[in-house]
Amino acid sequence: MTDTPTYAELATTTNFSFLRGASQPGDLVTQALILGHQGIGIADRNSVAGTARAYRALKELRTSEDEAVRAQAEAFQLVVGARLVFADGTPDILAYPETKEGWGRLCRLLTLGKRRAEKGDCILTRQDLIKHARGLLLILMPDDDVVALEDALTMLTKTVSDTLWLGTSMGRKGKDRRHLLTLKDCAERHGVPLLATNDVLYHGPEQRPLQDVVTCIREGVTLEMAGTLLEANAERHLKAPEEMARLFKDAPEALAEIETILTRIDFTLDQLAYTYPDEPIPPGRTAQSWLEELVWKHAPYRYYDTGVPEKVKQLLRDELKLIDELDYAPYFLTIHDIVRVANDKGILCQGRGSAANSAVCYVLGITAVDPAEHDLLFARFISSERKEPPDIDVDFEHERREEIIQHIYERYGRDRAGIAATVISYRPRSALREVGKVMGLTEDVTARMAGTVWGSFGTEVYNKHIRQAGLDPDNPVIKRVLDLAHQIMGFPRHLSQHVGGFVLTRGRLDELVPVGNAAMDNRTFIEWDKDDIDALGLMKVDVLGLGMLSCIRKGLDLLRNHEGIDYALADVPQEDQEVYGMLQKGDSIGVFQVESRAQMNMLPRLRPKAFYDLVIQVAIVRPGPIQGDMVHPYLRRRNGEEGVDFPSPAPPHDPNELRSVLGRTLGVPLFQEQAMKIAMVAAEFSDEEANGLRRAMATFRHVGTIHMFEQKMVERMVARGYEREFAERCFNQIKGFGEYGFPESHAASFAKLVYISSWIKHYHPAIFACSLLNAQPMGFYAPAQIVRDAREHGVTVLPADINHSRWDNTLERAEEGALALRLGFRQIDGIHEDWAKDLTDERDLGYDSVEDLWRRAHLPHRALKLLADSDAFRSVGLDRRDALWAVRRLPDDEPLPLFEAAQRHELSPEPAANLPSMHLAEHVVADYQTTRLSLKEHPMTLLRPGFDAEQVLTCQQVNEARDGLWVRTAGVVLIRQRPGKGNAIFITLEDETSVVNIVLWASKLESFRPVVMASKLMLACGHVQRSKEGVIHLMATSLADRTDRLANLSNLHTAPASLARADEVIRPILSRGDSVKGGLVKEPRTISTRPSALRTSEARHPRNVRIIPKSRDFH
Amino acid sequence: MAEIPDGPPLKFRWRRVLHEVARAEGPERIAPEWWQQDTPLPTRDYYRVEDADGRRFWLFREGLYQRETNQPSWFVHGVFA
Repeated sequence: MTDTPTYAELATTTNFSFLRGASQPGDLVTQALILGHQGIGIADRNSVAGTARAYRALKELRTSEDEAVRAQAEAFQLVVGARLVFADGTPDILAYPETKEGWGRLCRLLTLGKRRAEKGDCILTRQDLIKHARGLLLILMPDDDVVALEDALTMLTKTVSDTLWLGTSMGRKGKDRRHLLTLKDCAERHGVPLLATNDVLYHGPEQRPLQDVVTCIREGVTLEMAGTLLEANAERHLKAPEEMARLFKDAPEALAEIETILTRIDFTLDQLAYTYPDEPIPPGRTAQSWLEELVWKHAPYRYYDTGVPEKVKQLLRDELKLIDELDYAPYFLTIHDIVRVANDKGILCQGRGSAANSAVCYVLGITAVDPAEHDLLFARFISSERKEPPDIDVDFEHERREEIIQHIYERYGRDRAGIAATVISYRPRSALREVGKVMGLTEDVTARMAGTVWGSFGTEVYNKHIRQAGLDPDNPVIKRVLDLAHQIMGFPRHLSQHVGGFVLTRGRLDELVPVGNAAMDNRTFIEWDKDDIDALGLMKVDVLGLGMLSCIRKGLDLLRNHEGIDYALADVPQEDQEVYGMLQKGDSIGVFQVESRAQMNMLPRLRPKAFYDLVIQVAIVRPGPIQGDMVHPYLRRRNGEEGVDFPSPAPPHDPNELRSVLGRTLGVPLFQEQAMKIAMVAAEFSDEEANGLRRAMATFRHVGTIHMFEQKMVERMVARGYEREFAERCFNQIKGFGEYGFPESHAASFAKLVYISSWIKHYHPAIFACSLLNAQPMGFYAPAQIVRDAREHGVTVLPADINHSRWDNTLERAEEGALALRLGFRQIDGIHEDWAKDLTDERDLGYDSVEDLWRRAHLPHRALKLLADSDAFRSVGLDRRDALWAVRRLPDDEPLPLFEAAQRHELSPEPAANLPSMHLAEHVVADYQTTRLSLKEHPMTLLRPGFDAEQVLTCQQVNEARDGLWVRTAGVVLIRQRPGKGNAIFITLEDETSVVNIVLWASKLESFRPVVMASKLMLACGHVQRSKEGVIHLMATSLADRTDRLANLSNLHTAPASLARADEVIRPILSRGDSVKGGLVKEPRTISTRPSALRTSEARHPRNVRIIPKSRDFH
Repeated sequence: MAEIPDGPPLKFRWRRVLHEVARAEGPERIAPEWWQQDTPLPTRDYYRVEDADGRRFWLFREGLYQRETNQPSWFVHGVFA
């Protein structure tokens, strides 16, 4: 043969065949393109999860700047399918759908297998395949078992005729040629053509070590012990066509068959065009006409007191026209349908996103942000040229979201509704731990290495950290571990369900994508994640849980019950200056979104006094504006220290072209939409280019294509007469948004909740604290800080008590008329809700003793012990120790039959045992241990004498100190955070007087890392820095760990501490685009210095893992 | 003497005797245990060959042509009795 050989690999396993493939789908596609292949067939083990990634990679390449690459990518054929692995000994079969119907059947086949298995597994038999084989091209991949091969061929040739191939590969296994001849013979006998493959596991031979490592992880062995489990050589990579031709010179017909298969396959993922479900539309109506009818019917109710203003009517007409043009009506109806059900069930919800800030959404009750009042025009967020799907995320009360999810399943059926997947991938800690294990390192060494990673963010593990952990980064084994761990980071580990992204279809969902079981009962999820869904243009509805909505609903309920005020979200009195006054002081503990340290510092600077200020406040403390260096210019302009001007291009262009884009933010771009708009207006990006930029922004961290746009945008802006510096800042901001995008459309909905929660906090602090505690776990702060804050706002807080408390925290009307907060049993660790229910059901007029409680409420010993331990028997005159003594006297939970009679009698009175009374210190420590807070004393009060001797100031003294004073202070560590680019670490310490905010520069972190990571009681030295807005920081020069002092408080109970929920060491930040990671957090803590008492007790299920607002997953 | 890049040997000289290869089977490619050494050892291609006189050898070529070395060397690993 003289012409250049062609080739396409049809047996490609990606790393979505978990712990088998050792390359990302994108890398495989790119490599195939580089090698000049005609195409590639992606087929993972019983899964199509990797296909969408490959599709995205190819799509990206097709929009490449480079003409040659683009042309090559255009011609490149991506065929997608799955490698069917059977449970009944049939050899693996690659299945490629020929047509869309074939794809549907493949998806149904996989769904069948997955639904009958546990999460993540798939059980298939050859009978299943035969039932679904129509429209599928099948490639039998024989293993060494000749009998099974003959058997499978005999069986398959009976059912399928011209759609079967026998795959073979030349793996340099010594007997390749002999094997090939055997197969050739076999193929001829059965009349099945032979097909050349290389049964690829990775894109290049350099991936072999990684493939060995993942194999070992999969098999749970070390490399030393793995032996023949590993591949003998590094041959299973994509090979050049010439090499394949040489390998198959004895069977060129096997290479020719590749062409046959490629031409027969007509299916691409583009064909999965989406159809909206038509449930919400009554028969005989069009979506548009029904939407219009609904809108005009609802509008008068929304404006029942004023009548629909003319301005709103006009808005509605405009929006409906736009919706009609873009054909979005079914989408709005679907969202409306879900929201309506939530309203019927009394579940609070609010929509956000580009399409949510419309008059239509306000009228339909999807949001509470009145567009007429706030000048947030829908048309600004939706461009009619860009054919992107509308985006509305709906937040529900986090405690009741499950009801909505089940409703959706019910309404659309499980075959038409499914949750998107989240790809759980390797993060630094898990990568180090697992690779270390495979390389034969012991648990303590890998734990030490992993422990040096702050939280789980960042993709690099620095050598110096390794050195600090007492390990030598130059040691060959350590080096290899680091290197391989680095490579495996970002590899998918398994699929999990997304928090709430639903895909709804008109036809069967399982013909679109395979659906599998989730770990939770009654949950199913599809194989693609939200980016895949976006890329394929499927419709997704985000049903998210928001703790603050639960809190607000509880607050509104309490308001109704205790104060007789009946408000819905939209009814809370607006623009109340007293509420803004509270925020301006930075008094925002517990308030939605603006409660973080950084936000609290920003509040006195920004001084919000109107709703739109809150919109800005929510969006400004984010990596985008910070990296783009937009925060300070905005503040200066707002405070009138700098004139408002608009960057403008040179003539002939309109000098005011950016005025409409940046007007509302004083000429400074703050929101994601503005940055994009600048690209389109000032750099004249076409829609196509802007879309590319948007995609690059979303995938920037994975792919790094954004840099291609950098030059384009900056140069074009400069060419049009903008200052280079401004252009560069704009672009940096876009890069920042890539990390954590924050669009105005989301900020607006959030700002509403900020305002409402502030309003409740300001006017009804007891109600606010109560609902916040009852909605836990949520927010930044632990119960101790919430209670402390409530007390500082004059709320009386009463301890949990068997005769007064319920499960939830409650409010009691005190004598002077104010509401007092009564702690509920939910604050006590380990108490079950049904125990609390038994207790309150039987309480009647109250219990008079431990025994009385035990007899009537039938509580198990453990419950009584916990109640006693948490000092809840004070109302019957028993303190903790006396109550415990009384509990000890009670007979066993399940008495022996003979003694059952004894139960009927009261226990005979027993002479008082003269127990030594507990010290206050011991009580405080025990309080912390059982309820995580103490109403009796702050532990620091008890330690104060010791600290006084050391001339350690209280936090309050520090906060009152003059600027620049050098001070020492100490306190319990509340929060450790490392925001943004990580230049500084924020640590909040608390003592009995106040809290102090410590700033530690990252350069210092290296010397104090162990102190920062492990201290529960910390001593800090440094000087006071006071900003002109009165924000006080302690700029630390040294830190010391004083945790031992806590231990001295009590020799009975382990040291107390109550880290805030926002702490990033305990709760690593999960950033946008990353999966919410259950597996990682679930793993045992690796810092051995941290006693178990400190671990927060909430279940570590992925759903409960906190994402702090900064990095909340917005889509 | 062998075909590049990774063909079987055509003839080889061992202990001063030149052998013409009549039949060969292989290669069986064995990559080194990369985690064992600091500097990776080259990959070996093992062949079982029979020379014109019917003697059978077990040979290997050390180093992959171009990927690892430009001058792969040949060794006799064993002789089949």
